[in-house]
Amino acid sequence: MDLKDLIGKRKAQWERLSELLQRESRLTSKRLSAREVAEVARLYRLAASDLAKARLLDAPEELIRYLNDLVARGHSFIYRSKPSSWGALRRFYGQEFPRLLRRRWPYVAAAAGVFLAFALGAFVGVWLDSTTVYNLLPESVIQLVDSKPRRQGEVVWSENLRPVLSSVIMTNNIGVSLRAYAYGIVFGIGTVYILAFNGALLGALAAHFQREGMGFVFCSLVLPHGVLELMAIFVACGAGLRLGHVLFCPGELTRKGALVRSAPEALRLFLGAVPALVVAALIEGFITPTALPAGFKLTVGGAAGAAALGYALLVGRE
Amino acid sequence: MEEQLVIETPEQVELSYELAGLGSRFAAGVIDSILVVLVVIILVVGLVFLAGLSLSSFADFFDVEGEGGPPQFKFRVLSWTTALFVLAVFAVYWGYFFFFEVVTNGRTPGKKELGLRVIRDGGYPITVTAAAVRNLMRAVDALPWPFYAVAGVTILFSSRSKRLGDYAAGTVVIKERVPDYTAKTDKRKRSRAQPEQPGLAERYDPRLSAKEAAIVRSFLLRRSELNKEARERLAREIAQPLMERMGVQEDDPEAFLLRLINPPTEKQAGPTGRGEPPSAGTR
Repeated sequence: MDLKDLIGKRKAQWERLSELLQRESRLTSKRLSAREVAEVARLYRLAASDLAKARLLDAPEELIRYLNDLVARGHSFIYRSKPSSWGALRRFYGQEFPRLLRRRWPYVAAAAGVFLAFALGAFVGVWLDSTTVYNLLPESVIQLVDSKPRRQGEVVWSENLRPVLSSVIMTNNIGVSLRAYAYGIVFGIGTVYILAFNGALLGALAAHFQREGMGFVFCSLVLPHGVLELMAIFVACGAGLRLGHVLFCPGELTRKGALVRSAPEALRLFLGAVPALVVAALIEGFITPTALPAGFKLTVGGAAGAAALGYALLVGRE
Repeated sequence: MEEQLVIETPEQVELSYELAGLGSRFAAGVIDSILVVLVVIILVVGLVFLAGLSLSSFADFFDVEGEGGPPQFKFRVLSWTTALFVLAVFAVYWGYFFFFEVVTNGRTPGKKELGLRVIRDGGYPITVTAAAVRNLMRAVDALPWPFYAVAGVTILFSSRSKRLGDYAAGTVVIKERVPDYTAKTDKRKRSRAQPEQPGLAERYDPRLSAKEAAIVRSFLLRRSELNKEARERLAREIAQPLMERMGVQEDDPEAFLLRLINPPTEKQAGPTGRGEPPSAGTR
């Protein structure tokens, strides 16, 4: 077959293929029918072999380029992955994520360790020398603590403000967790920074409250949502540490290869933590800042933490 | 020079893609960012419209429980609307790129405008996971926000124009050449690839190697798109070594090249007309 035959015979088929692919790539037009998809598959293979032939026959560059692009477009249609479904979502939270969590728990534990170490350091620092608190906390926060009446439940937000508060906290926490994962790509340094920064903040705040004799108030303000929230953040930071670890020690793979392989897995760790962050933010918006008895609030916090722990340990066991 | 990405399909045919450079990606990013901002503005307008209904006593909104009397319905509406707005902005900011890259197989509106597409390293279409990874990595790539300096630097230093998100997801951004190519090339193909074409493709002066013939041929095909200077310079550059080797001296290098590729056999009169398509002699 020479070039003349090739073009003469196939032109109509190339154009048909191009037209079908064009239709598929448009969002608005209607999707290809099963028969048309089969047609695309057939025409694609023809075009692929035509491309090879055209190269062999030393066809004009324009024709080769035309066929190359046609085949490339067909390739990206034919070899695409199956779209995910609700079933996949259920399988993820029912099996994949808790199993992944149990396999990667050392990273989560490491994240918790870094956080608690800095929290403890800041606590001791502020406890020993109260002026340290001015290095660690913004002035406004300190004043807020100092000005508040010393009974528990004094921080009560207007009912009208709660949804806003909750949504701001939710997006903030998910944003922080997302960064904790993404910053892992800088050899985990960014993740450690996030852990250290937030740990020191919490530790300093706790010590300041304690010095003012409001230790219990602090607990009732932080623990109801804090237990679940911190667990979720540790998981997300664990994802970032995982990325950092494989970049430091890629083993037998190249750094790039190790990254490409572990990034989706780490992403799953982060994604698994998101629902917990949503629940924690709802608690923080709708339960923590209310006049409900402190005992009730703490029970809610404990129950949420215990539920998360139970989920991580028990769900989806092989 | 445009950089190429060559992959082999399961049909064992090589495909080459043109990698998208910093410039086109930046332009696509600008378009997408404008769209994101537009969506947010629409959300703001919607919220302000709602708020306008109840703004008369905004102070009550921040009232502490028990002092301002029973919370009124409109504040509750406003509060929930604001909460939804906060969530919506967050979802739009982080979800825009992800959504479009998943739904339209690797092209956000901005990329579509610039003819770009995200594919995976092996040439395969983007997956949901890859789209999520590469777009969450914007948290790093966009630093210092919103200048995307990290992304810019990594794209420049990467052999495949990858930003960090592309490294983590195993993706590349390619330039897809004009999607409506058929319509445009139809005319060209008719004038070139029709009956006269095979002569051009198959016969050439036996003193030429196949490679040389291919070079001469592609020059002849493209010469009408070149400006005068480039055309003459290229013709000279290509013809000179060939003339020297063959011991010929010609004044018009282009005519010489034409004769090489379309030797005056049969009843052809040896086309020498400048600017005529190579097929002119057979007409």
